[in-house]
Amino acid sequence: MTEIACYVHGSFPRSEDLVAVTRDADRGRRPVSAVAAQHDLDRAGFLALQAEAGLDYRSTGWMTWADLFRPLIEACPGLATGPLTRWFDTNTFFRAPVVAGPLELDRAAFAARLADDLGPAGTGGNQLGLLPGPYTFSRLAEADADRDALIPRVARDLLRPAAEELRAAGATLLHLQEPALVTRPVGRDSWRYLDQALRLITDGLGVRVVVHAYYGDAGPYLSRMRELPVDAIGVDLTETDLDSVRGPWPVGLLAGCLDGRSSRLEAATATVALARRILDIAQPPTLFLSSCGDLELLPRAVAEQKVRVLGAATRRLREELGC
Amino acid sequence: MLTPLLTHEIGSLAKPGWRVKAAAGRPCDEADIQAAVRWGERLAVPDYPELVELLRRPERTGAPLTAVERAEVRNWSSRYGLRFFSSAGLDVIYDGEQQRSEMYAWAAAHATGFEFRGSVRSFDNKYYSKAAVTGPVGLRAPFHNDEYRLLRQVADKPVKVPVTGPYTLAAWSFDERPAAAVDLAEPLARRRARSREARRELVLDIAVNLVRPNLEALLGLGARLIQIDEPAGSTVPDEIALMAEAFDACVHGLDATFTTHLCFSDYELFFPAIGEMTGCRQYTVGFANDDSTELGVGEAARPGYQIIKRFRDLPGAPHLGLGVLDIHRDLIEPPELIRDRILHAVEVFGGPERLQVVPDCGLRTRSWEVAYQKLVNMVAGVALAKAALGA
Repeated sequence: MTEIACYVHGSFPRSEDLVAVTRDADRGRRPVSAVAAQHDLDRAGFLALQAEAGLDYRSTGWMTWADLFRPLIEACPGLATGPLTRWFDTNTFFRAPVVAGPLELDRAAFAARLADDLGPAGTGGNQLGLLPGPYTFSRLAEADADRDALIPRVARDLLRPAAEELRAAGATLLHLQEPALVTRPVGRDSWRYLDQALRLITDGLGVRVVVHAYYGDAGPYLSRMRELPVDAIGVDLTETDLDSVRGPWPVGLLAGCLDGRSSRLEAATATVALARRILDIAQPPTLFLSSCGDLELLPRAVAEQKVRVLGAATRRLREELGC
Repeated sequence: MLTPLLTHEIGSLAKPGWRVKAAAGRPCDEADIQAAVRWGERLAVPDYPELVELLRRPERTGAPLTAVERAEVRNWSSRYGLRFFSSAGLDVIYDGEQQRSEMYAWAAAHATGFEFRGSVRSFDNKYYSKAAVTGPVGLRAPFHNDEYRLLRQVADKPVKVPVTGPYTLAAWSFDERPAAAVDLAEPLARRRARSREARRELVLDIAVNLVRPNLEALLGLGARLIQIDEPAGSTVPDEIALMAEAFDACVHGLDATFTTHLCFSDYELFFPAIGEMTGCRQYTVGFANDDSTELGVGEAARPGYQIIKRFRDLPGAPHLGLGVLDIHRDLIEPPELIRDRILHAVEVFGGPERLQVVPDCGLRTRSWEVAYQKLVNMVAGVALAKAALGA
């Protein structure tokens, strides 16, 4: 029988209070300590929400991360922050990592950052880890080096040590965000390099690893993606035809079925029906239900409602399947 | 109005602490008041002691500012903004959007069919209030008239009115209209076709029923240079032709010089579609964000400006507002760097006739001190470039 699980990946939106406090602190109207205190409240609120919704893996929400790459840049002297760049076809921007020296992770600095994110109480359940995927890193970074050659280099020197620090901090599932995999051309060699890179990250790591390709149609790439050496492959169902996820699936499938770019709330019943259809046609060993991309592109109140829908849909699906 | 190497501002400027507090009904502290004094003197704002007196009034009388007084503080903020750009030496000025809450929120708040949903991240820890379109879009009331009337009275130089464009208003909104509802079980091709149609309908609805009537109101007051901002223009590469169509739907048949502002994009995506924007006489575009800070006029020295030849080759020979200030860094670009960026563009364009000089974008994320020094150096850089060209 297929294992059913759910979690929310990526950055979670900050509360209106945290946005206001941060703005005030930037303008010198509030002390920086007020931001940290409100962040603690935001994280606690998000953890409580995940627990209440019954999510299987819980995240801190990474609300202090400026973008997906910044914690790595800040913990790697060989990386610098580059120009402000559009995050795929969204209206959010990130600073591209600039490869300016050796890709050597300052593990102590990265671990300290993780500890700050996690807080003293931890997540109170199976903990989710988050990193950029090596292919996406190689495509969005500014580097003189050959981009394909950068894929395993990033994996070996940066992402693997970071993954080990995440594991040490308690992560039991590592979610690698790979939007570039379905939005940028992927050459034949790139797949080979990506396969190699993922082995460098996953071999002996001891935590489940999910590669999630979103913001694009995964259909044309799924036969290749299913061969990647990871525990599950994530697709964005807002951009991918449901029929294209037809099995067989030797690895798990993460169904990005909550739209992280739309304020319209999904109905739990429709999400259950969608999941049942996926189970019928794909029969993966594991079905993870999640959002298509980060929920941080939504206001916090909307994202919270989507988390509740995710939990309710998963619960109902399990009930219907008797598992 | 499109004189060679004319200097413009682009749009927003940070709001002074005294303006923010007054608008929120909070008392100003002495540091706010001293900032009003300092900048009033530095920018030679006429009669600025009247503002200082107004800001001190609540402490003196124990009563908060009235609604009328708060509006007067906002007007003072506009006067300061106008003098900020004028005294920095710019040729074409506005007030740094001091009257507006924010370029998107101000427009959405004055429209029908929009409902605010909350804050979402733009970048780093910068957020904006995002609304959802829930029904037919319309203009509640012209929303730049009051500021334009005030600024026209007090401006000592030509003014350019920045207006948020229809594509950006659509792209920065959620779409909760029934036409945009999605069923993930539906085949992808059909979903995409319906989404494209819903999007087109929304963008053109905003263009025709919100932005255009607001432009007509401005023209009725005498505005003749209007910049339609489309920072979201390249968000969805397949929709750039739609952005162009919406621009022309806003301005077609109207008697004024219309320009557009594009920023922080892969500018290659705009071509060839923006060639269809026949109503656009100038593209003001940010380039410095991607450029080197080393001096040099040659192509290798100016990586951020490789794309400008595409703008040179646009049909109709529109002007290019050349972004020369990186608005995301506190770096004060030296005049020599700005000179070289301009001279490089002059080489590419074969002369300065179609070039004007601007910051990459609005300067609202910088402090006034940094923004002012950047602008002063921009003007100095233009002078150096003109000297080098023998102009």
